[in-house]
Amino acid sequence: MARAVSTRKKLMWTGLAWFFGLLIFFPILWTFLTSFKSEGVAIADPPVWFAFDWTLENYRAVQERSNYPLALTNSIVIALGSTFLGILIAVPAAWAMAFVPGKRTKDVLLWMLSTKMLPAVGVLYPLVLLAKWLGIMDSRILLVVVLMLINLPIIVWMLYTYFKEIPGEILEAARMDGANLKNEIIYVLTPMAIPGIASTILLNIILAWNEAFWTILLTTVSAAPLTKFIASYSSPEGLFYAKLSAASMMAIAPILILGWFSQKQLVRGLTFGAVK
Amino acid sequence: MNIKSTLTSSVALLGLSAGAAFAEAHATTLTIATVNNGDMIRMQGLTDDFSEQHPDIQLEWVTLEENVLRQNVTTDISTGGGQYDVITIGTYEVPIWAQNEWLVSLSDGMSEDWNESDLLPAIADGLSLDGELYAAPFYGESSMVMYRTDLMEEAGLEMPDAPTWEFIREAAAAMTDRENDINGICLRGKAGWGENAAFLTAMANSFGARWFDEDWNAQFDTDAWSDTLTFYLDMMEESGPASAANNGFNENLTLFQQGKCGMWIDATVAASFVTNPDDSDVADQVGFALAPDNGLGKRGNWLWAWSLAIPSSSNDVDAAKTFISWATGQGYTELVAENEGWANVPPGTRTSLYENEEYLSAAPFAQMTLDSINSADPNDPAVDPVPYTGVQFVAIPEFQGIGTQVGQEFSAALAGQQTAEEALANAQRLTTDEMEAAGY
Amino acid sequence: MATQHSRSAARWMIAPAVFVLLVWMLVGQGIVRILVIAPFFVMPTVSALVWKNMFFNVDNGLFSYAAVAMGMQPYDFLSQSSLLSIIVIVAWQWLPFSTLILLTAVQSLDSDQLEAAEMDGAPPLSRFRYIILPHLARAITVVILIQTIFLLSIFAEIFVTTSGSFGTRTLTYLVYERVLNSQNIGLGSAGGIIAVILANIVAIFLMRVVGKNLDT
Repeated sequence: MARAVSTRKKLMWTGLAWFFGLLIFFPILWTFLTSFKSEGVAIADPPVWFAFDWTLENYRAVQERSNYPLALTNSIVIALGSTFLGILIAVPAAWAMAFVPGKRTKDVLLWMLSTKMLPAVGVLYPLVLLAKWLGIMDSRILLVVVLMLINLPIIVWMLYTYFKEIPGEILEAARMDGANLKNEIIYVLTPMAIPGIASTILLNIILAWNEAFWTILLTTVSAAPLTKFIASYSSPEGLFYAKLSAASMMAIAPILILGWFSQKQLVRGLTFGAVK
Repeated sequence: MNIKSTLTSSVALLGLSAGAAFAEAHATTLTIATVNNGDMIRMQGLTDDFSEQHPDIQLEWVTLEENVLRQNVTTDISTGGGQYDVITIGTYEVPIWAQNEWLVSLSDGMSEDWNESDLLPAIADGLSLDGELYAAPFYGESSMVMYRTDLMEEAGLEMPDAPTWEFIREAAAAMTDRENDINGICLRGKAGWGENAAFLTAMANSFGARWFDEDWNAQFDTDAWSDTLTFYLDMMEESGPASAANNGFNENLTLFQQGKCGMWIDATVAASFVTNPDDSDVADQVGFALAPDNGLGKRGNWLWAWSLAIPSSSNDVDAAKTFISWATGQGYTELVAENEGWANVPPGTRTSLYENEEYLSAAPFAQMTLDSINSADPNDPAVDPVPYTGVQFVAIPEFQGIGTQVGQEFSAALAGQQTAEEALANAQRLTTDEMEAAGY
Repeated sequence: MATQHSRSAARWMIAPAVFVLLVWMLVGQGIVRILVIAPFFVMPTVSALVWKNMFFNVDNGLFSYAAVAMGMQPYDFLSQSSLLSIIVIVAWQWLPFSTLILLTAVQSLDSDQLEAAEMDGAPPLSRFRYIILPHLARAITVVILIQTIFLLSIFAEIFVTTSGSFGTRTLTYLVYERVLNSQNIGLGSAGGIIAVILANIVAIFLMRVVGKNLDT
């Protein structure tokens, strides 16, 4: 970004970007504000913006009622576990499809993606029975595997597109220089693919973090992640916006922080990456 | 991010998780699935009392919103998963699941001071099959009219204890002041078998309509249904809020507490919310009346009881019975009264509660709740005879699906996207199709 | 099916505009980027609840207040423009996804080329049209393909906002209703299979139209 840009232009772009950023962020900002209101203030008419008695009552109530640390741990284990497992399987698959394509490679890719379209509920009962038979209901390992399988098509797709960006000549040159497959992958391919892999990992962690069908139906207590934690605060009989907002902020905060750090990593990966 | 460290960490993670799952498989633990409504949250808060009495039984709570809970519990029980030892279900599920032999009978094995004969007959009937009780009521509710006393006075009207629909409509029109954001009446309009379909089914009962005749033929083509729906739509058009077609219980509660509704006909449990000065702008201006009727001998109120039951797949039926005896017994009522005051005890399950002077004076809506519950009869809900049980629902497995689709038709009519006749014709057609497919 | 197309269409028309801005921002770009990505972290049920009750609600939503403040009639989004409302919610949730993918792609753009074009006096719009857009062809293809198919299976947003009224039942929603409400597993599974076949048809069609962008 070493281009010479006039200050005025820069200011204009920055302002515009902030405008859009805040516009998009606004619903979350509103949720954040609501989480510090009492239930009565949360539905006040007209809405109250900042001038209310800020209270931590909702956070205290949520803390008291739910096992937040357990849910958080489960979310982290499930999101990271399914992502790493998925990457392990997807990297070779995407590598093969990108560099050694067959006649039907594209069809296979497409077919993989189309399984995403199957309404998850269609395989609910078979999967529950299978898990029951294996005795792994309500275990993290079940969710790691299930979420990995669910997101695998997307991981493969994303990696495939990023791998395709890598010019084949570089690989050929490496081969000429006598690199074997292992060295080729480790020293040539991986460094070039890091930005792509990094953003794939990030996206997949988010997808797994938010997955709210399987994580709710395949767990009871010990493997229940934040999605189930949230489900215990939405839509009871009675007012709930403030408490739901607090619970949501508690569920969003960790991954927002993760996103904050990892996007810096991501940008660095992109800037130093060899892909041009 | 090299491959080796990735591998190591994922293997470590998997090992960790497998270990955790294994370690938690022991100890006498009851897993209790319950709804996230206030009374259940209170019960969860009182866990310590149970643990003191029964140190050998540990309680694990799974508190979820109603729809998610239903999905969870249904999946578990229909696959014999055995994940839950105590489940919270409603009057709709109990007879169906008992019929499927998915539930353990509670007619014996409950603790001695758990007095079955003290349960309100209307409630207990709805939870029984062939004379055996399959779930213990935790709290019961009916529906009634809640109205703003100040607005009623302004309109120069007086609410009778047992109003007619005609009066409600007149009063609603008189109270409506859209310039000032006051709608005469707020009713459920959001589609769903437990939302608008429940309200309209109960209302239809008082208009002489019914879902099915004795041979399971759908009855939406009758005049009675046409009267019901037309009356509802006209009244909402005259005096309802703009968002009516998307309003469920909570949306209407919000509107009422903001002072935007003159009247609201909904669950009796709402009484304690709208009279709570912390949340409600109108707390000291609320009056109560029985749900309206049309002079045909049935009122438009429903009957529901959130109840605790034990799935047949539970690993520890005895401990589960011990817990249910604690949670639905008279001792629990006293425990709540002691800790949180009499106004907060779970209502609508026991005769003894309504003979308790302390409760009657602490809860001004108590008598109205009891009268509403007693005036609903799940075994004879409509004016004409019906082949089903259930006041605001039909206790057959197909009803959730049919009720929701019919609710969608009503909702579209309320939003002005089709006429009452079109909605009823669609309802008739889809109900007939579904029932035929289900083999009735 | 038209629903879903317009849904993703709406999304990828917004996304390019936003991410281009993102890239050229020099001050505070990290913060703005996180602001834009944040909607992705909110669970579908929660964002649907927030949008329904805090924004769209005609009686006490923020949009109604805004409309009244500007002297307009409040508009009942959810029952009068139900599909549009759901599209807005889903687009808001998934905007970060397309932004992230397109951002990754745009970062790999050769900035020398852009500078050269700027030196030659090419206006910003043509620079976008002739340099940036072609570079993003593949990324855009992937965004369209993945999202179209991914979003065919949304459920929570419809359930929370309209419960399938006002013609908002998608095929997936129908299957959910059949399995979870009616306990009709056979019919639900059949619906699922039809859904997969349909998805394949859509995907093949999409491949025909945009698939050539995937070849280098």
